[in-house]
Amino acid sequence: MAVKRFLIKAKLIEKKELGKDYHISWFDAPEIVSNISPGQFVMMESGQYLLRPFSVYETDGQKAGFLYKVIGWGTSFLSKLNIGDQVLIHGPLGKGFTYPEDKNKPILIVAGGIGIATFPIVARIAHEKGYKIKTLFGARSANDLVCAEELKKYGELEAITDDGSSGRKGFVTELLKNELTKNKNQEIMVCGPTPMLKSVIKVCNEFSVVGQVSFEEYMACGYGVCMSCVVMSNGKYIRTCFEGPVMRSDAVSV
Amino acid sequence: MSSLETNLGKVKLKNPILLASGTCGVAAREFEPYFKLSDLGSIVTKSLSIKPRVGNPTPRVVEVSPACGMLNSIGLQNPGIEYFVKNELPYLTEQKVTCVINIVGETLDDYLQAVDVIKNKSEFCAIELNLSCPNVEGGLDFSQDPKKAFTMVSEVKKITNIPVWAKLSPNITDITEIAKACIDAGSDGLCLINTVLGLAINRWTKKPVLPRGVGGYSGPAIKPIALRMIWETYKKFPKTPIIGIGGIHTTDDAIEFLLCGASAIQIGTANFVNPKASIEIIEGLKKYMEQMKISSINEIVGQAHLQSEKPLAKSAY
Repeated sequence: MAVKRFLIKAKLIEKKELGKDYHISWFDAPEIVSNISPGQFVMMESGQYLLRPFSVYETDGQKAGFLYKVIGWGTSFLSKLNIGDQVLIHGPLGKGFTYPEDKNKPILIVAGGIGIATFPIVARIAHEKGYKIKTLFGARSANDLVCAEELKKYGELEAITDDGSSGRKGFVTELLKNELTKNKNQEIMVCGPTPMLKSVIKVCNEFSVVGQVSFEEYMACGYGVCMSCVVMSNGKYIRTCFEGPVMRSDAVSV
Repeated sequence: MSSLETNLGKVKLKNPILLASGTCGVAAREFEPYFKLSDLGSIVTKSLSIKPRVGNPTPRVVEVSPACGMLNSIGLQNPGIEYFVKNELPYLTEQKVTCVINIVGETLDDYLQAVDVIKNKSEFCAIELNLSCPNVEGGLDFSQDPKKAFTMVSEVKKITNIPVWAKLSPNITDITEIAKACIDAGSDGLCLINTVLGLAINRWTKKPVLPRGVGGYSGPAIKPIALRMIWETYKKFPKTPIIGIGGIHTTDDAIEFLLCGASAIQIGTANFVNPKASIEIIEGLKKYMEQMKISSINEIVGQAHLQSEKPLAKSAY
């Protein structure tokens, strides 16, 4: 199947603040909406020379939504846009998550911090397809557990925080170990900061299960030509934006 | 009817726009969703070495604000020239692209071994010798020492009839010295410029951002540096075709390079921002030529020099 890519000027039509530093921005982007598969991302104008990668958080009619935490130039630029402003969006890009062939295999979402931003669309579509879903969500503190309520619509959600301000105190890998001890036959889908991904991959290896892991790396182009966003796989560097961002946990060296 | 056909000595291209090495994957396959590769003048492959190279650890890029461009330190990751010939070249042939093959190595012998693999192949319109990669040990030696540059180009010329272009570094006091050495050695064209050495610091870790410290600066900020070096080189060696590179993002940029003395240009970092940049520039050039009633694009190459035959103003002290 030929890959469909779009370079569009998309208009900001709605924005919402979700507590300190967290925002959702909705753009009118019908081309992206009708071609996105869950876990894919777009490159978006950032006020700098290069575009920035953003995973698509949800779609709604012709709107594509992006959930983000204001951290640097790109996210700050995005948070300051006014309704009606237009930005360049390039996508959809990369390889997203794959739903298991076995409809009875439950999906176990493992999210760390702002890595949660990729999962509402993944969980909603999984729910529509009839999969049983559970989310394990690790964050710094209670304030960082954004869109937990939304994910609860599709299944159980267990939270854990670094400071114990909500749920247990600890790391999401502890919850994952508990889950895998109970049932290894789950389709694991992971997204979060790189150190957390590496810990999760180690847990997967320990339990001899293969998960789908969505990586994040600095990238310049987003479509495979600059070779910046690489991760090590069997002695070779492969591209997060092209072979990924979603990769098999056993394909990545940690 | 205006013609974009471009003459670069022995090399003829359908238009003067190429994709620059290192900004179009290995063989530009990734552009398939955006346009037909055969609509371009040509593409320059990723730098290929006799042995595959793994490349540098991440982070490999860092942006330079405000909107100046970026630093990269990819470290010449490539699958090796033999792999390329077997697995990538057939794709380019199928796409009807006669490409420029970019070759790199650490020693003279590395380069010669790599050239040897492709020396008789008609699928290449030129060999671009990467004499100037800042991201590997010794990568800059060949474009900072005129003697080494001379030896490199003349040894390569001895073993192949494919036209040879030397890609030069801006990280030097007088680029025309190296240009002269390459021309004396028989170089059929000069590619100006490679990236400018730069560095970025992370204020939180208190260390350089890139693992090797330095990186290659590219993007809009280096355009004036490229223009200046092309200007100086064209002035001294107007008969040697120059392929201009450095921060070209729009049609306006491209026209400036042609007027400055480049016969063709390569689009580099702009590809990262807009995969269609090269194709949009080709369309833009057509419009400009119609507007200005230019029949052949070759006519405008170096024209800015004619306009300034009177010496440019000297600064007053």
